[in-house]
Amino acid sequence: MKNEGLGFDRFNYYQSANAQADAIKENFLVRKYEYSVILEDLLRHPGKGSVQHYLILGSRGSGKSTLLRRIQVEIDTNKKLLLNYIALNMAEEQANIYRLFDLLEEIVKELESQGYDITWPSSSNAETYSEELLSVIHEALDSVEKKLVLLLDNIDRVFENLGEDAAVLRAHLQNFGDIKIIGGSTRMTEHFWAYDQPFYEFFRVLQLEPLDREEVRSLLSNWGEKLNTPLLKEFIEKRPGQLETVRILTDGLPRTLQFFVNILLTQEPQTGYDYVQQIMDKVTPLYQERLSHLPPAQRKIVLQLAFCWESVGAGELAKAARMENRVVSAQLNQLIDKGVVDKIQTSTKNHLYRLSERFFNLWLIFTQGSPREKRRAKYLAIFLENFYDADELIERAKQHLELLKGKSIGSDKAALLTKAYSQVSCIPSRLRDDLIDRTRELSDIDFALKNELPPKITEIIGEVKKLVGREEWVKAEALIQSIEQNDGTKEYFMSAIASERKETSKVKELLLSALAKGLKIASCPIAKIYYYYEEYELSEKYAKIGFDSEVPGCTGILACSLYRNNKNKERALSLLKQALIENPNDKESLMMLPVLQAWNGAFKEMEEALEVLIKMHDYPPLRVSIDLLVHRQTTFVSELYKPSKLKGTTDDEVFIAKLIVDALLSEGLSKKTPQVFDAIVEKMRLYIYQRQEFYYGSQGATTYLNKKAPSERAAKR
Amino acid sequence: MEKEWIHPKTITGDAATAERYLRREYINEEFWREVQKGNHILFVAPRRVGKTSLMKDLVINCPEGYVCVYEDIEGVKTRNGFYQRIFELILRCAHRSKFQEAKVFIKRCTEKYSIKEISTSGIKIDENKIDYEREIRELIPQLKDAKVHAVIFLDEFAEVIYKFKGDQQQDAVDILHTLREIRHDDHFSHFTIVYAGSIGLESVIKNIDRPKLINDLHPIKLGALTDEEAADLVKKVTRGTSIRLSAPVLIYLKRKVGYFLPYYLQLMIESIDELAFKIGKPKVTVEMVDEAFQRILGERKNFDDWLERLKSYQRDHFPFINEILKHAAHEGNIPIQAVYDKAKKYDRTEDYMDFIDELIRDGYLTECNPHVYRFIAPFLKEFWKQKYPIYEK
Ligand SMILES: Nc1ncnc2c1ncn2[C@@H]1O[C@H](COP(=O)(O)OP(=O)(O)OP(=O)(O)O)[C@@H](O)[C@H]1O
Ligand SMILES: [Mg+2]
Repeated sequence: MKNEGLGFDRFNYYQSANAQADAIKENFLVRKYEYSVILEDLLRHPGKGSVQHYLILGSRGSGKSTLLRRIQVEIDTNKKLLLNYIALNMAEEQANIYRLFDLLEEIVKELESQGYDITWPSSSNAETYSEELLSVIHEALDSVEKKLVLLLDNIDRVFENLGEDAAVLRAHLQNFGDIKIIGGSTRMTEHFWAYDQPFYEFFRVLQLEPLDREEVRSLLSNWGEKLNTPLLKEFIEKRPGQLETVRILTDGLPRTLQFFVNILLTQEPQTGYDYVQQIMDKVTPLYQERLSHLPPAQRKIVLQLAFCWESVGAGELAKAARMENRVVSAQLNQLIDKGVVDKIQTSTKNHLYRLSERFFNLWLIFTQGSPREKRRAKYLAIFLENFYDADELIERAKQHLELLKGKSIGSDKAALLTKAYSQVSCIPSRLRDDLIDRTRELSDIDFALKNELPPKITEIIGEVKKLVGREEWVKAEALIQSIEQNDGTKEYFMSAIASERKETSKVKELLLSALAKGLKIASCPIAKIYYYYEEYELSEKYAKIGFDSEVPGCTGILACSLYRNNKNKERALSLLKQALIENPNDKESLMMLPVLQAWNGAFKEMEEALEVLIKMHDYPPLRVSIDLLVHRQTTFVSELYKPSKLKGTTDDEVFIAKLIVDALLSEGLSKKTPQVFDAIVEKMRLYIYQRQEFYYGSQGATTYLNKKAPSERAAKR
Repeated sequence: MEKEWIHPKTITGDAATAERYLRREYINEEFWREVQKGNHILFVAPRRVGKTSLMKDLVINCPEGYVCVYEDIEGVKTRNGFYQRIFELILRCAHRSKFQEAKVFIKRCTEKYSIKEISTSGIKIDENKIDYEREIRELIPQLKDAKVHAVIFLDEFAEVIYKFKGDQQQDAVDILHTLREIRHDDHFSHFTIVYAGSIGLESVIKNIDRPKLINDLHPIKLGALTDEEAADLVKKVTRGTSIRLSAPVLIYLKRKVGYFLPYYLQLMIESIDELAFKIGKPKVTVEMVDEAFQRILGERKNFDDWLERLKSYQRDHFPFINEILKHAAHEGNIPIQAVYDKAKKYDRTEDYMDFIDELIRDGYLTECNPHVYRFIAPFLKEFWKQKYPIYEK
C-alpha cells in the first residue's frame, strides 16, 4: 500500500466535542438508533410532563461523546428544538467537575455567559448551596420557558461524589421537570441499579454495542470518501474478510477503528513484526490513556489478564497477580462495568475472564510485557493469523525466510517472528522447519533465544519414531499433538502410529483427513491402501493427486492403478518405468513391469524384465505368472516352469507354484496336482478368465462358470 | 427506512404523566372517596411501581374544591427543613386557589413573613428565622376560611423519616407526632397529607417502635396492572409507532413478563423496538420478544450484584432465603404456607416473616396477593431461575 501522505490526523481523536458542527453532522454515521430515540423524544415532548433521562453506556472510544455532541449540535441548529431547549455539553475535558455543586456552578456560569440574568446565591452554606444553585437554574429556565438538556460525559464521575446530594438532585428533577440529563459513562455504577439508591432504574440505559459489520463498512467507506482515498474503498471491497478481522480486533470501537484506518492508509506493510510494531506505536496514545485511567490495582489485573491472553479464572489470576481472591473479584467486576473485561459464563460457578479488546491486549503485551512475555510469540501469531488470510501469511513467511537467508534481520526480531510463524497453523511444515533452521544459523543469535525456538517438525518426528520403537504410544501421540501446524502433519504421523498398531480403518481416516488439510504426501499411502483393497478407481484417484503434486512414491502406484483399470496402456508403462528410475529397487514395480509389458504387447522387453526378476528371486513369483496368463502368455509361462529351468530347486513355494501353474495350463485338472489344490486352482482359473473378460472382452469367465456348474444354476432357477 | 421509524412512546424512569400515563380510574376514585371522608392517605408500593406517577396524575386531575400540590421531599435533611416544606406547600396551594378569600390569605402571609415571591416553583423569603412548625399550626386552621382544602402529596416521605437516624431519631418521632395531631384536630379539616415512599412506612415506624403514629392512615395499595390494563398500556405506547405487535405476540409478551408492572412492560417495549429497528423489521415476532427479554437480562449485568449483596448481608440465612427465592422464581410465586414449610426445615419458624419483610423492603419480592409473594422484576426472577436451574419442590 502506498503512503498517501493523507493527514488522517485531521481526525481529532480526543476532543470530538470541539469539532465543527457541520463536520459532526456529516461524520455521524453510527449510533443511529440511540440518536433517533433521543431526538424523537426531544421533538415529541417539548413541554411539561415526564422527562426521560438517558444513560449512554459504552467502552472508551465507543462513541459516547460523539453522540452527545451530535445531540447538542442538533439542538443548537434545529429551530424547533432551540425554541424549547438549551443544550449544555459538559464535555469530557471538564475534569474539574466532581461534586454536584461543581457541576451546578458550571451550568450557572454557562447560563450566565449565554446572557441569562443570574443572581448568584449569597450564602455559601455548603448544606444548601446545591439547592440554591438549582433554584437559580430553575429560574433561568423558567424565564425563557425552556428545558435544559444536560449532556454529561463521564457522568459516573459526578455520581460517584454525589452522596446525599443524589436525593436532592432527584427531588429537583421530579419536582421541576425542567432538566433532562443525558449522561455518558463507561460503567453502570450502583447508583443506577441498587434498590436503595435514589436513581434506581431512573435512567433509560442505551448501551453502545460493538459496531456490526455494516456499520464498520459504512464508517470506513465514508472516511474513504471524505478523505478521497480510493485505497480505503478498495480495501473495503476487496477484503471483506479482513474487514471483519479489523472489526473483531478493534472490538467494533469507532475510535480504535480510526487508528486502524490511519495505519492501513499510511503504512507500507513490511515484515510482520515491523508492521505490528508500527501499528502498536500508532495506537499507543489511545491505549496509554485508557491504561492510565485505571486505578493501580485494576491496572495490575489488566496486565496479568493481558499476559494470560486466553480467558482465565479469578483464582488463577489472583495467584498470578499475587493479590487476594476477594480483591481480584471485586476489581474484576469494576473492570467488567467499565467494559474493559469480558466475563465468560461457564457451566460451573467459576467464571472466566479476559480482556474484551483483543487488540488492546496485544498492545499491552508488546509495550508492557517483560522481554520474556514479549517473546511469547503466541500473541504475534494470533495477530498475524487474524490479520492476514492464509495465502498472504504464507507469502509473508516466505519473505521472512528470504530475510533470514540474506541475514538481513536482527536475531531478536527474527526469532520472535519465526516463533510466531511456526505457531501459525497454515504455514506448511516444510517452510516452518526451514525458518527454524535458518534462524538457528543466524550468527548473532544467543543461546537463550536459540533455546526458545520450537523444535522442528522433523525433530519431533524423530522423537516420535523413538517412542514408537519403544511402543510408548501415548507419549508418541502426545508429542505429535504438540505440533501446531494444521496442515495434516499431525494426522499423517498419527496414522503411522495407527498403522503400527494395526488399526487399519483409523489409518485410512487419519490419512484422508491429513490430505484434506492439504498434506499431499498423504495421498501416497492412501492410494496404496485402496490398491491393496482392490479399489482401483480410488487408488488411481489418490495416486494421481500425489503424482500431480510430485509426491514421491506415487508414480508406481498410479501406473499399476491405471493397469488395473485398463486405462491408458502406454502411459501406464512409461510411468512404471519412470517409477523404477526413481526407485530402482521397488519390488512391486519390478514385479508389475513384465505384466504391464505383456499388456502393452512389448514381449521382448517383457522377457528381459522377467530375467531380471528371476535373477532376483530365483524364480518368478506366482502372482506375476498368473497375471501373465491373463495376458495369454501360456507358452511363455509354461516354459518358465520347465524342469530344466527349475534347476532342482528345493524351495517349497516354487514347487507349489509350479504345481498350480501346471494345473492351470492343462485343460481340466492336472492329474499331477494334489487334490488339496483344487479349490485354489479353480479360484485362479476364474480370476484369469475374469481378468481376460475385463481386458479383452472375451466370454471366458461366463463360459467357464456355465460349464462348471450347470446343475447349481438350474437349481437356482 | 431509518428516517421513517417511529419509536414507541415509552417513559422509563421519570414518572409517567399525561398521554404517557395509564390511569386506573378505580384507584383515583378510592383515593378521593377516602379524602372526602377526611382520611389521610398512605401509598404503599415497591419502587418503580408508579407511586409518583399516580400522585402526579391525582394532582393534575384534582376535583373541584381541592387544591393539590405534589412535592418530592427526599432532599429534606432536617426537622425544620421538613416543616419549611410543609409551610411552603400550604402557601403554594393557597396561591393556586381562585377564591378571593385565598388571595386575602396570601396577602396576609406575604406581609407577615416578608415573602418576596410565590410562584409555582417555589417561595422566596428573606427572613430566615421562622419557626416553621409553629407557623404551620397557625396557618392550617386558616385554610377553612380561605376556602382552600389543601391536599399535599409528600413523595418519598418514608425515606426522609428513615434517614433521621441516631441523633435525629427524636426529630422523626416528633414529626410523626405533630402530623398525627394535625390529622386528629378538627381545626385542621381542610388539610390532607398524602404520604408515599417505597420503604414501607410501617417498617420504618417499626424500627422506631411507635406503630400508633401511623395506624390511622388509610393505606392504598398499588399493585400490578390487570391483564387488560397491561394490554392497554402496550397498545397505548405503541400506537402510531413503527413496531407492530399482533394479538398472539402481545399475549406471548404478557406471558413472558408475567407480572404486569408498567415499568417492566415499557422496558420490554423499548428493548423490542431497539431490536426491531436494528434488524429493520417492524413486525414483532415471539422470537424477538424472547431476544428482547434476554437482552435486558444480559445488559443489566447487575443481577449478580443483587445476589452477591444478599449473600453477604444475609450470610447466615442465605440458604433459607434462597430456598424462598428459588421457589418464587420457579413457581412464579410463593404462598406463605410454602414459606412456613421451608421455615420449619431451616428452623426459623419464629422469625421467618422478618425475612419476607426484608426481601420486600430490599426490592426482591412483593406481595402480589394477600400472603402470596413474588419477584417484583420479571428479569430478576428469570435471572434467579437461570442461576439456580435446579429446584425440587
Ligand atoms: N400508570 C402508569 N402508566 C404508565 N407507566 C407507568 C405508570 N406507572 C408507572 N409507570 C412506569 O414506571 C416508572 C416509574 O414510575 P414512578 O416514578 O411513578 O414509580 P415510583 O413508584 O414513584 O418509583 P420510586 O419509588 O423509585 O420513586 C415510570 O417511568 C413508567 O415507566
Ligand atoms: Mg417515586
